[in-house]
Amino acid sequence: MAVEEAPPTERPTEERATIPAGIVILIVVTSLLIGLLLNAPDILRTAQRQEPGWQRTVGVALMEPIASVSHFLFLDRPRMLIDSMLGRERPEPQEAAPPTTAPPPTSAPATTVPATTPPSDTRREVTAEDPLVMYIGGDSMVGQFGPMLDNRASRTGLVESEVVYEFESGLSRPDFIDWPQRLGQVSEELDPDVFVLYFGGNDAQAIYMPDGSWIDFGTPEWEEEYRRRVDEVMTMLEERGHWVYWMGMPIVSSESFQERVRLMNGIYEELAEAHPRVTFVEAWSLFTGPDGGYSEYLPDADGNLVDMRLDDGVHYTTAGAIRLAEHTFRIIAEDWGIPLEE
Amino acid sequence: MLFPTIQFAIFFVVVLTANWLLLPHRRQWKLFMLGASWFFYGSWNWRFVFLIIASTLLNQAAAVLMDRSRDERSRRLVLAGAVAANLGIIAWFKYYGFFVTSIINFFRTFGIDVPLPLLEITLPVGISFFTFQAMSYVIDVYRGRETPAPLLDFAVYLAFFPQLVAGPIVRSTEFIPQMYTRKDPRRVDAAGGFALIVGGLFKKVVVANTLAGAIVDPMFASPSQFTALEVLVGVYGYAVQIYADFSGYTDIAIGVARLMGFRFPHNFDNPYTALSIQDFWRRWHMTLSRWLRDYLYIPLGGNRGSRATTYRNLMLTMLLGGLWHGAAWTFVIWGGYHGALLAWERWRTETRARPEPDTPGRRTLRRLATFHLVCLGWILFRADSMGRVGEILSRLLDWGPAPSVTPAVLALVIGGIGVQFIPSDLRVSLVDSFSRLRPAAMTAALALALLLLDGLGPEGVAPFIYFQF
Repeated sequence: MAVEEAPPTERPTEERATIPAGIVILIVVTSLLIGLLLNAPDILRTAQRQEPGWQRTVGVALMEPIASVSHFLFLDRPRMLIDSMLGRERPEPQEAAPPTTAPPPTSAPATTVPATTPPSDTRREVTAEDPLVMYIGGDSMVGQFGPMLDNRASRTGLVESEVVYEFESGLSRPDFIDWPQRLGQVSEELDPDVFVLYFGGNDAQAIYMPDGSWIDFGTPEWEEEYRRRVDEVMTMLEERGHWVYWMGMPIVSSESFQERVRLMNGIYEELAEAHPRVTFVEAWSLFTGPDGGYSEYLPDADGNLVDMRLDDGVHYTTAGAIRLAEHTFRIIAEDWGIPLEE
Repeated sequence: MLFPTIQFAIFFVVVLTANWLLLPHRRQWKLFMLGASWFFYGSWNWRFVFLIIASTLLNQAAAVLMDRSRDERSRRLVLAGAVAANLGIIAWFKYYGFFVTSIINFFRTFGIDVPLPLLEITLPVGISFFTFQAMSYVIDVYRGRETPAPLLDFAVYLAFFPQLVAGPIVRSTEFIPQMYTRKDPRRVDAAGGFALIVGGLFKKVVVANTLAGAIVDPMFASPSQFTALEVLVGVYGYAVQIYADFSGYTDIAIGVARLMGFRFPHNFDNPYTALSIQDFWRRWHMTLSRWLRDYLYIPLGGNRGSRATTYRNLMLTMLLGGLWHGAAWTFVIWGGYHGALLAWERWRTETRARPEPDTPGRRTLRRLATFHLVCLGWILFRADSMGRVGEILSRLLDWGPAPSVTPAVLALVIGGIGVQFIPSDLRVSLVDSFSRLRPAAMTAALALALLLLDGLGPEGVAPFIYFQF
């Protein structure tokens, strides 16, 4: 304990020049405006990725002309140079009608297995020399769960995993992260045996369409389009010979959000049943309390009550992630004949 | 509303302008600042603004009652009530789940089922900070070191937005008089404020966030995937991350206050240059250290009793200091670990026949030993369970390739530690030189800094680690 010390104090600044408050405010405002121009493409992307609503509308409406001015005056070039030096692929900001969207399922190039040849129904043998390659990807739900599943699976010495997650992403917003396209790339480059996919945390929002329009959540059109997108991913990966474990969302604390989650889980489960290589991993009931409702505290593997969920009532704590990872890995291990013991 | 966001930039421009415009009108200034601070806090969860209002009224009532009463017993009762209420607020919001699950799990080991209700309670951001500020105020009034401030003054002190959610823990005696000091709007220490803000943002956005994503979070989540060198660099990385994250926040808070004409106490003083654990606590989270010293360690008896009593007081102070950081046994163990180290250091000093020779070589060894003892503590602090601590430590024996130790990670770790050895005078003189730039040059430098901050940091806005405390 710092028991003998005097309270910390400011350092003297006798040599320091001071300036009037008005100039200080002018410096702050001007430097922020120049900073806005210099970082305009990135700030526009940040505005665009927000959920539909007045904040997004205002943010995008303000930033689009600023980004144009920045580009016209070459003020965005230093930022582009930094991005390219750091090897970052930052997509160009979307205009009114972004072209990026998932390729239709029929047009997806089947690099691993030609689309005309149905992949085999049998799983290959997993050995230490030829381990199971697993890609765990999705939205922020993967943040805690992914590393725990990776940790659990790697203890067998028979699984190698890659964990990738993007906050605020999902299948509703390909304008921000185009997951179908990304998963297609992963299929080509990593060619994993297994995809463990987790979406839904951010998908209960309006869906962004390729023509720049939106489909509001809760409408029949939304359900139809979301179903199409989930099916598109399942079909693409299945046709390419991968096995997919599609994670369900757990029960959440907000009752209104529970309804949305039920809707999405229903879509995942129903479509998984239609795809022989896709397994729906039910997580809802894994996190319900004795009364069947939401419970933050649940017993761990030793029977001790622990906090399983973060304060937001959606994401997992480490203990919650371990619970789900153990459950998920048991399903995968049984399918692939992997012994659970280390 | 996090500091490194556009929302905060807009908020700050408005508040900074109003701050200087309203300066001649003291009451309007206070009302505006109170409203702005509540707005800032309400941007997380507006319901908790009522918590701050309740805390303000409760502590002010206690202070006024104690001041008016001449009866020592009554004053003591009021103080006890106020302290109990403050601790009760923290206990309810922060520790309820921890206490209840600990009790249930303890009795479960004996086969006894204790039917205590488990509630879902949202932790209000910054509750530990503003509650400790409020407690220091009522205790100081009780001790006669301070007279009760007017309600509006106290409300502004408790809610003042720069330090509201993650410190530094400013005392009312440091803040309230500054509301009455005539500030000269022609003489603002802009360079000092800008340097603190930009430096703090760099620490947070570039250093802390990059290290978290590149090595710290993956290593602590899944240590079995990493070899000894990666684990070692991951632990060093966390030492740098938590320092950059927390000191970055308080630097921004102090810098923001500086531009508004306020001076806050420093919170960090190059902690990884410490020569001992005691020295470390003189340099790390200094405003918490002095709070624990003045309101816990000294009232417990400090070092005035026997040697054993001093060790007990050190241990108790650090155990509670550990618990202050989070509702988990790992934090308590972390506090106990530091308490034991402080007691051991004191014992060594007191029982040594001759003072330890002070040579450059010995100082280097002491610094290295202190840093590694602190790092061992950080494993306890960061790991989610003691099992994970064991897993991390066992990985230190498994040497192999270390692909996660990239040049960028190494540069951030070495730079994050090395920068603490730059003499303070040099840093101060650099800021002094910056202060003599023309406003246009200063503007250009700040705009360039914004470009680098946004460009070099990873995408997204990560919350500050100390927000959860």
